[in-house]
Amino acid sequence: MLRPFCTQCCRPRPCKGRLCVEAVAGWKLNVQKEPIEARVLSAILKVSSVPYSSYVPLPRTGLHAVHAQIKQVWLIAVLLLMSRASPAMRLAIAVTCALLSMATLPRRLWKAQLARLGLLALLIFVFTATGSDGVPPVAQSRAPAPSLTGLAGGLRPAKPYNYVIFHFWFVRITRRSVALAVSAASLMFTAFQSASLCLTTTPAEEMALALQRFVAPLKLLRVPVREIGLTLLLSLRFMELVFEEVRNLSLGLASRGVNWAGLGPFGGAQVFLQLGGRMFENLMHRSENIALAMTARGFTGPEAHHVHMTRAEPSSWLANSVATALLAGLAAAVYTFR
Amino acid sequence: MTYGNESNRKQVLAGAHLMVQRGTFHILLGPNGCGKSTLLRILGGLLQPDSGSFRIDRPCGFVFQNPDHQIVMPTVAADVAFGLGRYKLREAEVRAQVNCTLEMVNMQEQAQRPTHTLSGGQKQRVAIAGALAENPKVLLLDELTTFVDADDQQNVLEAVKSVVGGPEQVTALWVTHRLEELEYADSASYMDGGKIQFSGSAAAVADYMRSLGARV
Repeated sequence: MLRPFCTQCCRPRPCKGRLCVEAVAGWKLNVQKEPIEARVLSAILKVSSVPYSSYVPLPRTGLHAVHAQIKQVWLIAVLLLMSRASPAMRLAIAVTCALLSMATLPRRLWKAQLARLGLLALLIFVFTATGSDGVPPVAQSRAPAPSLTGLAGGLRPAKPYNYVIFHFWFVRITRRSVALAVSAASLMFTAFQSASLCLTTTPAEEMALALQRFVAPLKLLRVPVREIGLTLLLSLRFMELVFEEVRNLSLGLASRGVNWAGLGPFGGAQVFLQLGGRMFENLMHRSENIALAMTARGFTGPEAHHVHMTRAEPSSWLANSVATALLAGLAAAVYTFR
Repeated sequence: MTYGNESNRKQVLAGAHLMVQRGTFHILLGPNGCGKSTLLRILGGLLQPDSGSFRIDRPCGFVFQNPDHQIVMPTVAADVAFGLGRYKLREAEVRAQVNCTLEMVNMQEQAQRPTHTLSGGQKQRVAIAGALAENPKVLLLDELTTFVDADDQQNVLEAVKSVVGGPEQVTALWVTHRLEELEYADSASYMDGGKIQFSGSAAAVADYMRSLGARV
């Protein structure tokens, strides 16, 4: 039976059917004007089903063989060393971190991770480079002009030097803003990617146990060390649940075929707010159920409960030695090239 | 037993009476909301009955309907070992027990896998392994096959069936509303309106269900 409306151009029949020009033009127009809400949903659904930074046991690499405590020392040391390093060194550390991710993780994981984080780093770089030194100080300089001190022309550098690298209208990029942008972007990139590398190559149980061992001396001050370890462990487990819940809700919403254009920006935002509320409700419900299951499995409290099977594979002394030597080498390089 | 006889709560159990022979696979059938899960939770010690009493072999392991609610640890082996955390055991003992239990549910190859990468049926088998790790005398299993496909349903049922009986005399009380699962059972009960309406062998319960108009 012929439908009263053309399925391509949505106009009352008769129309030009398959060759309907309006339909083709309308289709192109629709593709170009896909609402932002629909694009956000499809972006969430396109993300890999493996949660960001969750443990990837295979393929087993050299990083898998390094002890979790050494990895945690690396994490802290890299951030501390970066704060003392030159911008070029900071950039070099970020690039090394990216290369290490490419060498360690499966392609499908590092490609998505580096693309997202790279985009974020690029945005930080652009905004910091253009905005951090673009507005001249309101107060006038109190230093005397070079012509008054008799130094004019006397201290010209051998090579031509320009403090302002680029200036057009209100956009002003200076050497200082570029240095700051490189530092901010590389610091952010390294902080996220190094933590991600650590989590993808170490089981959450080992990470929690390593942290517990680091903070063990605090037991003397009556700090609940085991509770801290268990909290970290459950948090890492919870990350997966949050990821899964967001995906499930997005999938449910996408399958409902919501007319985003008809809802308008306010309606769209309202739907997303409701979705957020629903997500928290579901997560709370899941937490309650997990707590019930823990009780059913004999959990009475972190102090009375031992967490077993925390080590998947024994760490390799060779990998540990290489990791420690590399950390010492990095520290030496940072202090040499300051 | 009765549960929920206060004015602010619906009466879920209204004089439920059930006897299960030790070392058997007993299926508890019934429509949604008839009180099957509540009865199981009372037997597992998660709820207190308002009146009545029960006697059950200890220790007993409880496996929930949704394995995502049961699995606590991020890795398979660590999750199976979670229940053993309340005992003072050496790491080698725990490792041996976990390996043995994972073998029982045919999951020994997945010991180091992150739990979020498992299929629904595999998660269910990990949850069963977690309950089995403590060498329970009774397994309380709450609609384990609700979220799994036909293949996984069979795997989960066979995993449970393989541990029932034996020298340990393990008893399984399996709650379901899928009638085709009766073929795995030694005995069964039909529950409705908070009461056990009929108990007997799997074949007798199948006949009873047919008399009610069900396609078994």
